[in-house]
Amino acid sequence: MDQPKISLDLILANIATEAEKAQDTATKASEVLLGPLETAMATTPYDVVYEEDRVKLKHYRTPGDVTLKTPLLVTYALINRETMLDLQPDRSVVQTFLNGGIDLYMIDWGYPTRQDRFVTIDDHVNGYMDNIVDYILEKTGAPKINLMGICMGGTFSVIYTALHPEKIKNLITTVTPTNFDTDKGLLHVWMRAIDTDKIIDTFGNLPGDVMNLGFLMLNPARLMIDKYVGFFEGMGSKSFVENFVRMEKWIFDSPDVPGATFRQFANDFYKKNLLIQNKLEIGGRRVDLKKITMPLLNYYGMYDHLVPPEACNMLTKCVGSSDTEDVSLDTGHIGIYVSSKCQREFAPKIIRWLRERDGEQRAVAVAAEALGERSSPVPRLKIPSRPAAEKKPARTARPRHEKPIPTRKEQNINPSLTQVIQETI
Amino acid sequence: MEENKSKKRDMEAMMQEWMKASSGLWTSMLKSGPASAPDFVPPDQEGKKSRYAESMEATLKRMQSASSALNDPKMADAILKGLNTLPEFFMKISKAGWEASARIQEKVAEKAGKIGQKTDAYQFENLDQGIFKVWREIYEEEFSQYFKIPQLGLTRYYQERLNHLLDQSNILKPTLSEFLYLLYLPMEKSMKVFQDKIEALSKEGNAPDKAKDYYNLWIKILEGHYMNLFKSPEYLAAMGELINQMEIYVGAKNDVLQDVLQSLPIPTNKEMDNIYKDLYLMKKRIKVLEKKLTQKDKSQTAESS
Repeated sequence: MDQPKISLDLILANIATEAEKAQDTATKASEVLLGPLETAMATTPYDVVYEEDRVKLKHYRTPGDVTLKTPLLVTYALINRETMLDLQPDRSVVQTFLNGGIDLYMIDWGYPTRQDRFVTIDDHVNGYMDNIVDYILEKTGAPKINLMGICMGGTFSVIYTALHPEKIKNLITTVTPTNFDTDKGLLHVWMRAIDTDKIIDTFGNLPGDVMNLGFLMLNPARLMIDKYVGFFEGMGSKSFVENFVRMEKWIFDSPDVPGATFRQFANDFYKKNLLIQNKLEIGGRRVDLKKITMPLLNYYGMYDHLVPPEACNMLTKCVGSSDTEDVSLDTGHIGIYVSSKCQREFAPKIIRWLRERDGEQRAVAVAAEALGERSSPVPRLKIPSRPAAEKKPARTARPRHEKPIPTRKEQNINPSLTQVIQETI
Repeated sequence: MEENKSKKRDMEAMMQEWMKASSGLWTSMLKSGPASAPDFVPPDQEGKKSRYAESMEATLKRMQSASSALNDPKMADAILKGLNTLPEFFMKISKAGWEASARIQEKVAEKAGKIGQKTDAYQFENLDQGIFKVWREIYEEEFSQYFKIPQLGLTRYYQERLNHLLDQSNILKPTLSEFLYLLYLPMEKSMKVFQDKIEALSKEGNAPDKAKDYYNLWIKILEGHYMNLFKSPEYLAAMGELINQMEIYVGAKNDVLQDVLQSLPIPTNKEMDNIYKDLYLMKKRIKVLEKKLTQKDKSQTAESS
């Protein structure tokens, strides 16, 4: 019989050391958890400048000068909330944009109730979004706006831009699903397997809690076990606990999705994949991606398990624009916005990209600055200088699939959403 | 045989005695009742019998004639026979239950033995979930029909909806159990794979010496198992079925709740949905008209200037 070659003494010694560490952590944890914690999120000041039904438009107060004349409108998804872009002061996409001199507007979709169950994608895109864009254009006097969409909000932005190209100067899509014919993400597989019509007929809207349960079920080992094991390990640190709680607050702050919108999103997008084929109809009008002729910047995460790269990277090939760029980051769905590494790459890159395309408006700002017409009391973000080669708008600046796309089995061991979150916080 | 006959005779005698006593009771009640009292005449209705007295007299007479009819030996015999068939009736009802129970036991024993036979590591195809299907089949064949008996009378629709809810609740339970069983499988399998890996590592002398390393190894195995499970057709089918049954159950529950709410001054979801729809359509029309008006105003202003 083979004897296991393992030193029992060593194991016992390690157990004793770990028990001591655990005791130490527990003592610190009790002090942290019983003491005051700063877990507020979305603390950047803003004004609600437009309201329609449950939808609000936030206009952020710029700490310094606005150096990009074209205002930027950010459209978040109907799933979870836009507070993710301003999770904590030192890690906030919103603050980076403001420091970069962007005049920033953001749509807050609010909390749909049963009375919103009949609200369709058409109402969101050609109704709320269009009214908001008109409001910004009128308020700022700008001929066009920059539009940035996140996840499902990105899909809405693509539809909006294709239907109203005359109002959009530059389009930025981040983790935006446009091609739904892929088996890479479990969400895509599941959405095709379930009868969404029945769900909506039964519940009216898609309940946020049901959706959250579905997201947890995408990776229960990590999201329901490992994540909390990580919390117990780190709960001796006040800042760790604060950041963890902020993330928990954001994750479980899930508004319901209006029934008619979800029904259409599941059927026309996930099941029929109409958008990328230019066959989608919204409000009686066909959405033709070729009408997107303005510059397009398309961001996605290589390890995104909700919206995999395959769901995002076809868009730039299907639009009518010749100035497009795909940027894939080595992270997941949320990591793009909250991980410390991506904080250094993501928002600053968008500011640079917009600045390059701000055209004469930028020239006006620079000229005004040169004439001393503007003095900025608050120091502005210093945009890092870029290599000359990078300054040219390039069609696909970064080669697609710089790294080989991992196979399904490989994806299992790649960083999951929680790992990214944990790494972040 | 003799014993049976004597028992029957005893029963008949007892029946006769009871009928006589009953008939006597109603006769004496009839005589002693207020309707038969000559002195009792309501002050405002002299010369007439009161409605109460008339009704009482009629009722007692009916009871008396019924008791007399039962005195007839043939009638008593028929009643006794009817009483004798009661146990048979109950036996028939309970027989269905017993048979179903025996079938369940038999199939459960057969299927329970199969559980775990085909659960290879990282494999979730062709799982034997027969035990849950068997339970559902038996339930649908033997029990579900009782909840589908046509209801009669004024409350038939309410009763039908309540029965539907109970039936659906019974169908949902095994569906949920099947789904939970599938979710539990990766736990079971990952423990087995984990044990094998530790054994292999120990033999090589590479066994981790920190508890966290063991945990990391196990969570990675568990994650892999879940990923494989979630892509399996069995899981997709079970998930689809659970959502389907859940929706039917919620619908049935809402129907019953709606019946309850109708008696209270609270609007039902159905009523509110109708109002919401009207409101939604009205708002939409107003917004379109508003936009048109604004555009018209703008163009008029541009023309005049």
